[in-house]
Amino acid sequence: MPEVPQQDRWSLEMKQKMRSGLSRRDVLACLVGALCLPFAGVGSSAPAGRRYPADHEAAFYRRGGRVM
Amino acid sequence: MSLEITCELCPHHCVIPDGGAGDCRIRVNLGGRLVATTYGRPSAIHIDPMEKKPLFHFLPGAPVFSIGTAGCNLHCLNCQNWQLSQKGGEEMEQVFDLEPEALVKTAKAQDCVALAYTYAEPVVFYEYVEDSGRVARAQGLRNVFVTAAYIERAPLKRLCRVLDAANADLKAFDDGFYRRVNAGRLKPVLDALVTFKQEGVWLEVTNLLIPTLNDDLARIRAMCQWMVRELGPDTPLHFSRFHPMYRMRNLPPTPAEALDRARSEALDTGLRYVYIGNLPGHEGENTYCPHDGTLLIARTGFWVMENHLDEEGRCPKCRNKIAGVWK
Repeated sequence: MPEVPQQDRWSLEMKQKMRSGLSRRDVLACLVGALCLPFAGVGSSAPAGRRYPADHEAAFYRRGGRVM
Repeated sequence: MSLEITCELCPHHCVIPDGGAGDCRIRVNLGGRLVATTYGRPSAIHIDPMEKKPLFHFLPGAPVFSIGTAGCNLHCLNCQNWQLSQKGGEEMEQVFDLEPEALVKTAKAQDCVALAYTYAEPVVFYEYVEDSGRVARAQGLRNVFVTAAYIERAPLKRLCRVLDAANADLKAFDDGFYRRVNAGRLKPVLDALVTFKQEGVWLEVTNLLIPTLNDDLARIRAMCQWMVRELGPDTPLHFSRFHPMYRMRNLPPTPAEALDRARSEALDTGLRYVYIGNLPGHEGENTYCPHDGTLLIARTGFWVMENHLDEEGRCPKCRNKIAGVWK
């Protein structure tokens, strides 16, 4: 029997799961996810009003292109 | 008037048109002025043990405040941090706002003894390293540079004034490998390693051993002989285990036997401290006295389990000094 590709195996499993309905564990995971959502990303992005990217002049460069 | 500029920080010498970025993606020409766009904007921050850098002969077990920004001047097919290194600053979702003073203050508040510039490639956020390093020094912190060492001599020499230790990759002793796998060249890296040594920065070298690409024993021997000659036999060498990553998923992880063979070869050439990394539990993680073979520091992964060195870094049995920075 030919081997089922990994991608198809995942979708098969997913279809079987959907037919059998959600387990208690799935529901719990959804609830926890929903509760955590408002906190996701806290402290992980640039503070509002800060300019980005930084405007700091670099060292070690010269005007003009390559000298041929 | 042309607003084109040439970046002279690394051996690429990128010629950058107005509005464009260098090969590293984060050094940008804005109206004829080169801007370091990730200055004070790290995207990765962690407190790591010193062994994670890896530095095995520099303040063992000490906590290091480690930061990295987006961007890199190499493009290794096997990059472990490609989500960070192969992006420009504006592509990062996570960006912290930490100017040098705030960075040092935060590190001190976390009881860290050093700052490490790491994760992607600190060469490309050169100015941030230099300014932070100066502030850190003034406040009693050490500075650790974890790098692929693809940098011109003049900027590196200047940066060494604020650096205490470096772990530099020597990805292969083969210019063809550097060109094919890393989009760089070998010679500037060798020159940079020598510069670290000449400038008095404590140096350890890492060589990631990739099956079939750079695990040839003759080349490994040549690399180690070069290290003994140019950097000295006391320079620690870490052979690190490869894992399939990024654009190099076609090769298997490095077999433990290949790492063992490389380590034996390196010890044969006269290097005194040769380690194996990414293989937790291997005896090659430990430090042994090169004079009498006494176990000096026992490690598991990044953790120091036993440390028998005295404050001066001497072997408890033969009293010989072990090379390194121990306090």
